[in-house]
Amino acid sequence: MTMRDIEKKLEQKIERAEELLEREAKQVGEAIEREAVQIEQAIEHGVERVEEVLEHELERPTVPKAAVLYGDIVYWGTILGSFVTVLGSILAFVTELNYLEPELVLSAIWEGRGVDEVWEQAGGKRPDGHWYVEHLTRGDGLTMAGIALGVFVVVPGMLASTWHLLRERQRLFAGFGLTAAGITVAAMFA
Amino acid sequence: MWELARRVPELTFLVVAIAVAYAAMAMFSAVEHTEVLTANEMWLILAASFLFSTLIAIVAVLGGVGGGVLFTPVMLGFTNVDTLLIRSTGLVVAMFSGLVSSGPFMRKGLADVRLVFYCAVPIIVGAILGAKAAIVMADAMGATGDAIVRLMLGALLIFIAVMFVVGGSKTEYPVPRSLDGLSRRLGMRSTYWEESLAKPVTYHANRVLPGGLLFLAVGFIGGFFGLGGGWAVVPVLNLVMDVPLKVAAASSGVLLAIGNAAAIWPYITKGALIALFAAPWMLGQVVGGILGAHILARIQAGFVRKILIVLLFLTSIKLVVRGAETLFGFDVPLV
Repeated sequence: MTMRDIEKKLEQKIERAEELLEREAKQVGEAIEREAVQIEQAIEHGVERVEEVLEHELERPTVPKAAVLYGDIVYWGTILGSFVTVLGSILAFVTELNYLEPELVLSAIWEGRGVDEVWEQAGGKRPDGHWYVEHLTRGDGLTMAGIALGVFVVVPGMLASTWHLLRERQRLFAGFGLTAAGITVAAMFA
Repeated sequence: MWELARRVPELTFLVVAIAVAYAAMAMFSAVEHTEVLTANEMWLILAASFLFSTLIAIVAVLGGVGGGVLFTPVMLGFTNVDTLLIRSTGLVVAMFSGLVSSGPFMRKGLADVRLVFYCAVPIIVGAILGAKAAIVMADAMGATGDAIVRLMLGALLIFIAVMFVVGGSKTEYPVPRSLDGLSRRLGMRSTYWEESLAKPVTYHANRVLPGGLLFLAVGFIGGFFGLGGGWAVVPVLNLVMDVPLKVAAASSGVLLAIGNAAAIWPYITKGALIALFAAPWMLGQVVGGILGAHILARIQAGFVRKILIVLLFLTSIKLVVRGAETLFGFDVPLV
């Protein structure tokens, strides 16, 4: 084989290699292009979705502060009242610190006695007012105070909510709230 | 269940505190036997009351009514406990599940605070008048009054049960054909986020004057019988005032709590609410109210509603018979 033949063969091989490289580069380029299109589509879809969510979030009505205030005060007040009632029930049952004898109260109730008889039989007089306030260190007094606290919490709840409605210039509804709170307080002392 | 315990830690603490309390009351009881009940029986009555109350609260929340609708008739029909004591405790049962659900409902924007305050005034006035009338009637008429109350309540329960049966005409999102003048002037327009539709729903409360008058009557009946008024508040808000069903149901609990909070004071100050007897019922309502609100989404409310209807019919029969037996002096066997 002459030097000329070797050169020719080498040239052919180089040409072939260049062809292959060109084809490979074309394929890689096409693949990259395809991926770029996919990524672009994914980004577009993501942006659309984010816009959609943002739009919904902007559409979502804000909950009035007056409502949140009322709900929170009443919820936590009721939970607090429940814990006081639990404490009072334990005191009433495991100690003798009671205004009325618990065994006589429960027996009289179970027998079907009327309210007057229950109080008389259990060693007290039927009250006319907030009797438990003077007996907070006794089991039944504390139990009643826990229930009363749970009932009372609607008043501060309504007042706080009313105050906020007034700040929002919703005078008519603040008036309704104030009236409802006022009647409830009046019922406590009627 | 663990998920719920983690998400609502205050409920977990309360349940643990109640369990510890009842265990302590059983082990270290200082209560003595009487001729009527042993110490163990007294403890059993209190523990059973708590469990029964929890169950009532769950069923009541799922069925969309106040617990008083179940408690008061069942106790009047099947126990010897004095009617006034049952009705005062019935108000506790009717209001406490509503009280604890106020927080979540208000925070989610489902209960409308302006609508609640408007409706609260007539319902409170009615409820106080009803409670006062109940105390006066009990003091003046004694056993005859008890019998009349049972008879009237039996008839009312039949009406409520029938209302539940034919109550399928409720509309989820009522659209008022035209707004009356007063409703337009009051401007009770509001918007809430409807999760199931993933979009806001706007509504306008309509016919506010007839709605207010109906709430006066609902308050009186609820305060007099110790039922609360859950059975009537949702229909009035939805069918009369064109409020969407979800807002009506959420506002109903909040409204009942406010109405009954006023009605219960005359019972408390006149000694007609006995703390030891009412305490387990109150605690059961708080625990059951929170539980019921959280399991609401996972259970078919329609099934619970059917159970409620059957219970109401059965209890009404018992009440009517007991009332008639005392009033007219005859005895009906097997009922």
